[in-house]
Amino acid sequence: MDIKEKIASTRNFSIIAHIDHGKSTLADRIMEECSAIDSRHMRDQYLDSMDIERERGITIKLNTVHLNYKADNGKEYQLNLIDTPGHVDFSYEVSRSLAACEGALLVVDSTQGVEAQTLANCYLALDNDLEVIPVINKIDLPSSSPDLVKKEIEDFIGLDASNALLCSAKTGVGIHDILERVVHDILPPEGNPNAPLRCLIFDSIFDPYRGVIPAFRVVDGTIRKGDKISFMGTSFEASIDTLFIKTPDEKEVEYLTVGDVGYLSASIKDIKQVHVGDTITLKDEPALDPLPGYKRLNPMVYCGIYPVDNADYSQLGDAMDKLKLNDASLVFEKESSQALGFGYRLGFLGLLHMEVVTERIEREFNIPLIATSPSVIYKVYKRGGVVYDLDNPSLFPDLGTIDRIEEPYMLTTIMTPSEYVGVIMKLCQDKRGIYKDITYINDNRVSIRYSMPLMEIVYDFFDKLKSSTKGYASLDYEFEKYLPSKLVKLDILLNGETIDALSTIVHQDFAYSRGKAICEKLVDTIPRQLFDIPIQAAIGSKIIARTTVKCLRKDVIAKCYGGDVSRKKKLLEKQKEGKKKMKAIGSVEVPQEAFLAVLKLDDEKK
Amino acid sequence: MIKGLYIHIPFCDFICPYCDFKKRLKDDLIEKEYRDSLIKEILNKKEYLNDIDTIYIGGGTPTAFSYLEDILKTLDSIIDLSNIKEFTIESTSNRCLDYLDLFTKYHVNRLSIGVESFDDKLREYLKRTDETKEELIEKINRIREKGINNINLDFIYSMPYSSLSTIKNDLELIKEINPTHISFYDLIIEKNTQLSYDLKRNKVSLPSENESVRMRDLINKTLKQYGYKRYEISNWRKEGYESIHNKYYWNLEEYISFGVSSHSFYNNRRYENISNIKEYIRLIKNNDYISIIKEEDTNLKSEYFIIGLRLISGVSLSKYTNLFNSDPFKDFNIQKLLDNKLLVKRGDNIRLSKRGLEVANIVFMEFI
Repeated sequence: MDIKEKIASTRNFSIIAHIDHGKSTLADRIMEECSAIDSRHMRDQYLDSMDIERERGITIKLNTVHLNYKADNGKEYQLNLIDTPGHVDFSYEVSRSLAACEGALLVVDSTQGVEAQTLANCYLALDNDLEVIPVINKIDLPSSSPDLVKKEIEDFIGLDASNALLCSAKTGVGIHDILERVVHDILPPEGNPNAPLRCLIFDSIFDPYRGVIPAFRVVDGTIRKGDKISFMGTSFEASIDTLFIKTPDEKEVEYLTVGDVGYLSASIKDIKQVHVGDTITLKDEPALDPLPGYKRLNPMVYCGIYPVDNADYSQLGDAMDKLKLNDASLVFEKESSQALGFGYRLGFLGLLHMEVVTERIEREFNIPLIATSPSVIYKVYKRGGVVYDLDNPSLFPDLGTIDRIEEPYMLTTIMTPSEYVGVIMKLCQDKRGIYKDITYINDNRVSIRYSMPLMEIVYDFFDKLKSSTKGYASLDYEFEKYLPSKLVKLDILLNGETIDALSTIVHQDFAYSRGKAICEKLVDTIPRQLFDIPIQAAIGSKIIARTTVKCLRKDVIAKCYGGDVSRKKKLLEKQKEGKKKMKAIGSVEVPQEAFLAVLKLDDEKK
Repeated sequence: MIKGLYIHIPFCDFICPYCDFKKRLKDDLIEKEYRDSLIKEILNKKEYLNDIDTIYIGGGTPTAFSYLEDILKTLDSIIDLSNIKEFTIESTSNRCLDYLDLFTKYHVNRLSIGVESFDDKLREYLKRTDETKEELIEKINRIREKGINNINLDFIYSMPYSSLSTIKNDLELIKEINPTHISFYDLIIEKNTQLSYDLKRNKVSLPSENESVRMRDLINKTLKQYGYKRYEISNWRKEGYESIHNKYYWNLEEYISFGVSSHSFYNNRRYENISNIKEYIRLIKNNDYISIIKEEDTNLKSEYFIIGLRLISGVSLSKYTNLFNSDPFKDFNIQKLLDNKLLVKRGDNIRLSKRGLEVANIVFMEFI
């Protein structure tokens, strides 16, 4: 097959959906239909390869697979499927994978209908000029109502759903039709195979043996094994050891051309030389201009992370360099805390992103961490006109020196069955939301829009929304504007000492109730120790709440019998391990969870 | 010099929900095979037994083992049992008369009986409803009539259903029976026991830490009033009745053990016997006495304290220096524990303070 024919038979597409609408299962079935995986090796959600993904049942990272498909017209096609995450925090992964595609399958759960992320991801795809094919999934379920969902897609997204495909990724019904539509409706890649090489890096991974491995899509030209390449952004040069695609097993290839999605290894040890969004070209025959990269996403939530054991500090730096490679949206800089020593301040796209990153550092790099409570970025207007960003409560200014503080508000879209409109509106009001509008998606479902302070969304709005609507409401949000707000710094004192890492910025109306709730939560989280530990919440020098961790009254292995000394030693070793995971602050030992306790307050009483 | 001998009998009539010792329900086929293996193991190592002066047969429930007599006979053939200072056999209370005649014949002079509690609800949970207090008292009298006066009763507190008033009743029972020795344990929730599952499924619940502390304080106070001296974290005795065998464990004296999952300490090393009973039987059938034993990590400096400090009388610092030719204050942060008043030093002796006894693990962890 010549290069032109090869390009004409290539289709690049991704699958986009609201979380849990069955995208990863659909990817499984498509791989099976293309006989990519031996049935003996098949496992559910095949492309979710990270432990965290498999445990939580969500997709966090985009992942690619190259498939061969023989269509009904007798022609062979090469399909590059890019599986993407569904949660709002990971939309940057979605937008990157979309830039490598010409089409997208928009999967909608026929029992749930259009949800907030369906909408958000669909618009992302349309913005990228992708051909969007609506696919209505889970039609095997008794509560499925495909016609209603079609109508929602048309009325609410404005997409023609008259020939939307029906399928069940679970049973395999309709998968063949989907692939036929992919090859007919999605355009082959455009680009000139003879032009100077330009490949867009959309992801990269670090392999301890092979170094940095960029994932890229060829936009122009042809890339071959042995080529000397240059990264246009960093001017870094390397020569290609191997070029491969994932089928999903790695398969080495001699060359990749326009439209192909692949990976290369070039013994790149310095991870700072490879940036997602950079363009790869040939050293001796460079392209004139790099490809437009990705829009840099600004973090919305910040928190400090500190190694439990200070000796892990330099390893933590390494770990973050490596994660950054794989997670382009992560930003970090050094910081230090009186209570916790040296650490880093990290910026995240949202709270799930924060949880995932900290969990990955702990698991993949085996560094026990303490994460401080998250903060959004406030704008501080000093008297005299100076404005600066504040993302760290410990830098909260003296209120006497400033004109005002503004906090970020998000344009928040909530889709819900209409019966929950009342509770949702009350919740939004309680969380300082500003009402915008309400739209009927159909007779039973509505879309409500509010301006919400991001801090409240980060805090517990999402959990509360889910619990007060039995999980039926879905949420999407994007930055809207900054608004002035009456904010105070809430300090927490352990044993009389202010713990900087536990300070938070809160709205003054919530300060008392939150101070009380934090104290109560900390009492449950901090284990009893040799002496009583008073816990206080304070604004400035004013104590607003107080509790006490009573001293430890018993901690003894009662039985040491039959001469089994080793077993007792093991128990003590385990207990000592647990102690090591706690941070000694002054004379108090504080477990990791305590630092997040300020976040997860169950019942905040006013 | 190996002075203590322990023999493990892993069979029981019923399984206690909190127990995680090596045990299984009685099964005649396996019991026969176990007897043969155990006898072979004992005879194989008989040259280790020349200096034995205490024997402890534990379990499981040794008195539930149908072939206990064959084991006693074997011991009798290689050890002069009349010279053994302390020969203890464990039993449940309902089995404690089964071998009474054998006990006197083979010079068993101490019985350790698992009572745990006499609260009705708790006994129902423990499946021990077939015996009354009066019957237990009657059995103890029969044992004493046979000349065995040294009797230990095992009790547990902080169990499901236990409260200050159930503990009071148990203490009353102790007063009435007036045994020479009491082991009163704080319940340990072990993984993979029925109790741990029942707790997870909320089938039973435990007293709060505060209640448990009150029970502990009541036990300490009351046993003292009854004339018992607490000499180890969980053990009390009448004058002259400290368990010699158990003190060998706590004083780092040498002891040897036979049977599955049993532990030995000699030549400055700790050993554990294989815990799988079928493997144990198979290996001994093949005369493979090496594969049944596994050496365990031994750190005598650390064990000197974490085991020795279990004794209320504490340990000697100069003995440590002599044994290890090393300064204990340099090896461990003992000063910190003294500063925190968890340890008390009087001349050469250090021991747990009253507060240290409550939170002994905090102290022991310094020695790990």
